[in-house]
Amino acid sequence: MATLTEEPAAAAGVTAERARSHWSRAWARFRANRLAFVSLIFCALLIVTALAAPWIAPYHFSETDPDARLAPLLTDGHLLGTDLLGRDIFSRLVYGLRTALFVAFGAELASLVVAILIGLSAGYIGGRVDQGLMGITDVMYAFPSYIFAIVLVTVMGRSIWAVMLAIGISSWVTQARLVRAQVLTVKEREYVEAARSMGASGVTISLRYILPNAIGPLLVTTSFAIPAAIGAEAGLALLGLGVQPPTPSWGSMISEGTSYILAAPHLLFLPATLFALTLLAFTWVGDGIRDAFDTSGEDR
Amino acid sequence: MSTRSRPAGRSTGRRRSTAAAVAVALALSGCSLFGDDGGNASGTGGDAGSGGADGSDAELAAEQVLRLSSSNLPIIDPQVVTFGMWMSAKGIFEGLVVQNEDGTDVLPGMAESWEVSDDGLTYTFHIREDAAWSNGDPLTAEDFERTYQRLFTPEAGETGGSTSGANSYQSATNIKGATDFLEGATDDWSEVGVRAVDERVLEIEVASPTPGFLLAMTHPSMLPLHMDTVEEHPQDWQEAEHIVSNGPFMIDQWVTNSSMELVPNPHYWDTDNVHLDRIEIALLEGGTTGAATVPYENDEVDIVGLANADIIRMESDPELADHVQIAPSVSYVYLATLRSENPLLEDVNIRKALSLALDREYIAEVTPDAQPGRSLVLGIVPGYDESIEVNEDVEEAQGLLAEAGYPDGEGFPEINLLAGSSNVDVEAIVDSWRRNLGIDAKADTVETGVLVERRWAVQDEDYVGFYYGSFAGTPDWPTMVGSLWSPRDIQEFSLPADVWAEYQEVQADGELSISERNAELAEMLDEHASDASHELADLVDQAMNSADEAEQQELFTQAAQLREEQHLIIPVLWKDRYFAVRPTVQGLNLRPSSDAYYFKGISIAADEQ
Amino acid sequence: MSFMTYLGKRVVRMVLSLIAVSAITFTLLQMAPGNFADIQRISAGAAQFGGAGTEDMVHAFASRYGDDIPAWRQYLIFMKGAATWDFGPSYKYPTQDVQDIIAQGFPISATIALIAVALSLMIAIPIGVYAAVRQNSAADHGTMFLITLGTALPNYLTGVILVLFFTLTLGVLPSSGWDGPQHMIMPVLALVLGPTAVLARYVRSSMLETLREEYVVAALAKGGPRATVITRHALGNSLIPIVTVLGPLLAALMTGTVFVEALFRIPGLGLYFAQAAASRDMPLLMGTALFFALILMTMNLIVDLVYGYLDPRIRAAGGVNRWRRSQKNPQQQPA
Repeated sequence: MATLTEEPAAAAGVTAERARSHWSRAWARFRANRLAFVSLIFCALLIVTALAAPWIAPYHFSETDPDARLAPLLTDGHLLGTDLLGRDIFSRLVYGLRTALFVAFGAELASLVVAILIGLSAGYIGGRVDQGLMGITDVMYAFPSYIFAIVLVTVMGRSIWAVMLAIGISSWVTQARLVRAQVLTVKEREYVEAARSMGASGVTISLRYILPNAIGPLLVTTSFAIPAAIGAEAGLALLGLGVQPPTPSWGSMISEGTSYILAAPHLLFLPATLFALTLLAFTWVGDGIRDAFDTSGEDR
Repeated sequence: MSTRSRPAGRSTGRRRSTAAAVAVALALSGCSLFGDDGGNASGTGGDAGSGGADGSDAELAAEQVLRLSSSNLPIIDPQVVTFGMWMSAKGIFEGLVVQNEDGTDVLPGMAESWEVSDDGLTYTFHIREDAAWSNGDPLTAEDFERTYQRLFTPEAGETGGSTSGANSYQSATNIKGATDFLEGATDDWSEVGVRAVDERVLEIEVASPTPGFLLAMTHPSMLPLHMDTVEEHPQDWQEAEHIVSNGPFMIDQWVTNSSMELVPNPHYWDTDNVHLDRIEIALLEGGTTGAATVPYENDEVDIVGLANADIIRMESDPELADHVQIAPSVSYVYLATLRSENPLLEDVNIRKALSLALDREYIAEVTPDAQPGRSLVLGIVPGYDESIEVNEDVEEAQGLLAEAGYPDGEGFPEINLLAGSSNVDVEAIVDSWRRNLGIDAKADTVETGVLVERRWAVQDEDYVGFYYGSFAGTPDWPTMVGSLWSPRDIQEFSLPADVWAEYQEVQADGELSISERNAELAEMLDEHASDASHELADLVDQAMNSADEAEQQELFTQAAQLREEQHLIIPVLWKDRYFAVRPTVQGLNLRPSSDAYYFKGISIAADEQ
Repeated sequence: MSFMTYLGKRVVRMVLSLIAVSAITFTLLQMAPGNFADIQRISAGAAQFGGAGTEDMVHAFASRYGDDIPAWRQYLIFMKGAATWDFGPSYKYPTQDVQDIIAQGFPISATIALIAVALSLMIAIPIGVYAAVRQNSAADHGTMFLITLGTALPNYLTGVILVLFFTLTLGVLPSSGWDGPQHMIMPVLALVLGPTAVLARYVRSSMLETLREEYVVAALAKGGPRATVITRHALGNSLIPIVTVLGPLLAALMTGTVFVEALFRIPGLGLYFAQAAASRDMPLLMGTALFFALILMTMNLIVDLVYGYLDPRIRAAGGVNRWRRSQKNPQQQPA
């Protein structure tokens, strides 16, 4: 916690220190969880691969090789074979990873921002604003989320942004409620009262005292939301509502692959396996984070 | 009439080329494609049915049950364009005439005979005496007139009063006054050339001598409906509990979105040629893809249509490969020029360059059910002439681009291919442009709703290209030249973008009466459509009114050639239809028609041979 | 707050939410490019027709909605019908009213969902209890590891694997369709995995908490047989929180089996809905969206009521539990 303004230094110091030790303890616990740690490394690798896709993929995702159509695994020049058009599967998987992660992180970032704004204002201002905002979250909560996603992508077209927004919109509700609940618990604490009495503005209080407390739980929900978003992207693609082709997406590769289940099984199993592995890794990381932050940590 | 032998496949499609060659040979000798029921291929009179059980050397199975799967059918109203209308045509309803084995001519159906007047304008159909509905009612000429009145009444085709798809009437049928009545230009039924003279005589007048008329009468739109039922149950006359039909089979059960069961119609006139006791149809909603061969290989269905991946699968297995049967093409894939504020594609030479640069062999190769299509007239059309084809020539294409100021494709704007689904051929088309011309090309695959909104709109300055689509139609000249990409369409496509925008405004102008609107549109076409498109209209007009068959064919060929030279609509592929057919299925006649085959005549052999 | 006032408030909120859901859906649909007739024409074999000339061939939405009726009136007409559970005929299935389609499709989706949830409870409870009792043992970690596999595998992928195994390898089950119990097996199995994983985790952690409760500790200390204590005393109480997750889970499955329905070609409601959006079938889309929202909200209400009944402590603090539940809302993953 950096000191931005000169305000109750004592209180701020206490929180900062508490927060720091809280974080380092959590990190120590996380590192001790072997499965989570290995998963984290795997996820990091995935992220690096996605970022460096143009350098890692030997071909562009839409580059065709008419001489090697439907090539099997381990073909010379096409390690993981090619599809009907002779497009390199490995390259398409790498670019598909990029799509998946871009959509998932983008969606979660967007939903986090919305959630924090709404949760904070609802919790902090309270009263009618709270009622109004929570009314909105109630509606969104009642809106089966994939319905919203389907309609939204249908309406906005199949751009990567539409997919991102569709997934993000259906996941902010949970987090907004979480932030609000955090606000409600922290709001009445002494040091917050103290800060307020010394004239700190609502924004300052929110940013300095309330939000830091909410980060832990938010991190946990977000870490679970990421694999959910990856799954959602694939699901939309499966319904023909994913990112516009020829941009590869695992969902569309899987859905295309199902029709080749007998003709060329690797077209299905490669993206499916990678997809499942990625979901698993992110889920395990999420598990690790949750356990690390859980006060009754050793129970779970 | 002879069928031109088409370029017989390609090296990788050995099986197909054999099949195609056989098809051609059979067609030439007047035999059917897959049955052995020769002769009786044309003409009036005679009430021999189409095909008997092809069971000369096969013992019939005790259970005559045919299991099929179909895309889901919300409705089967033959007067509304949905897949359901083809199900109706397969054997639930039967028209005045039906198609012969190879789909080139007609056989008697509800009409046992017919005559054509000397001027070729009046057809007199004699309904057979034993023609009956599935509830036992006699089927009369009156029934046909009433049905056609429904067909031609604007907005009458709506089923259940909630919505209509497109009206399924084919303008190439050319019935006098039909289009005017349908468009609302007249509401005087006596101006329409359909008349029940008495219970058993139906007279149909055509606007001009129409060579493909009888074949056009086999289209689902011309099937009779039991109008008493339709009027009594306007919303659910087609449901199993109400429907009354006149075909060899009738609907016994129909669970929406799930299954349909057909049983023989006891009142059908030709029950001797109806062998199946039951037809079970699984109605499968599309949605996610899956391999059609899975239920087939698991012995859940007897006949299944095959898509690309399925064909690859079937052909990879020596035993299954023998189960593949092919219905020759009835559809083609085209690229239609998008109107744009950027006039680039208003230059015929640039369009020509793009067409000549398409590597159709390659595109067909990645699309297992297709063959290169170099004209908008299918190769199986009788009297087809290669002279109308687009001759691919990459060098010429590059030359044309250079002449237009884009040597080696430099500075050439990106060409977009607007498509509603991500088919492999879409990617292959784009790919072949990139390769052969060194230009930027992109497949712009959009959701269907976006496609329907954008394909006829005027695109922005920075968006030029084509939209991808496919058409199916009766493989004859009047349909292929007069109706699909008709002179009118070509005139509209030849309009400059700004005129087209205005033209669409007039089309959508609800203030105008129909005749005012039509007059205004015609005037715009007269003034702004290209000379070639006017010439095309004249040629087709002459062809339609020509009484001499040879001359007519010559005129149609000229017209087709002229149209193809405009390169407004670029042909890409001709599509065949592939089926996996269990060897026990006998008497299946695949025809080059969208309904593919009739249920009548099919039987099940006791064991595979 | 008396029970009736509470209930009344909840119901009023539900109605308001439903109106909001309908308004949002309708607005989105109005914004969507294309319309039913044009899409139908292009997707249902309208290949038969030439280009723009056929635009003249009229398409009309007769019945209650006309082309010339402004959108807001269409909405009011629809909602007026909806209020009396009459959504009118679907555009795509003109022979059927939307409420009939729902009446036909929902039982199918619900059956699969119910069986799947029941089955996953039967699997999850023993697993969860076992893992909790053997906390931190290899067995605990092992089962929980396997369980995570279940959460991570999306049901459509499981479905494909099932088809590969049961249909293509063993040839014992039909690949698709809906015509008897044999058609139910694979869809249910495909759906079981996810909920099992979620439930088992809940059972485990809830069991762990209960095991630390004084009365359990006391009972154990008194030397009561461990198995008896666990089944008699601990299990019942530790299952209470499961209720909170069960409701949304059921609702999610009942409305969200669309991928499995598509894969196995089951005429459930999810499939209708997904296609209603694609084909711009306004009445069907609105009808199913409203129905789904209704199911979801009813489930939430029931859960809150049951939970309050089971655990009176909660009644007062209902607010806190709302977020706790939503935090673990399995519905978040639209699969």
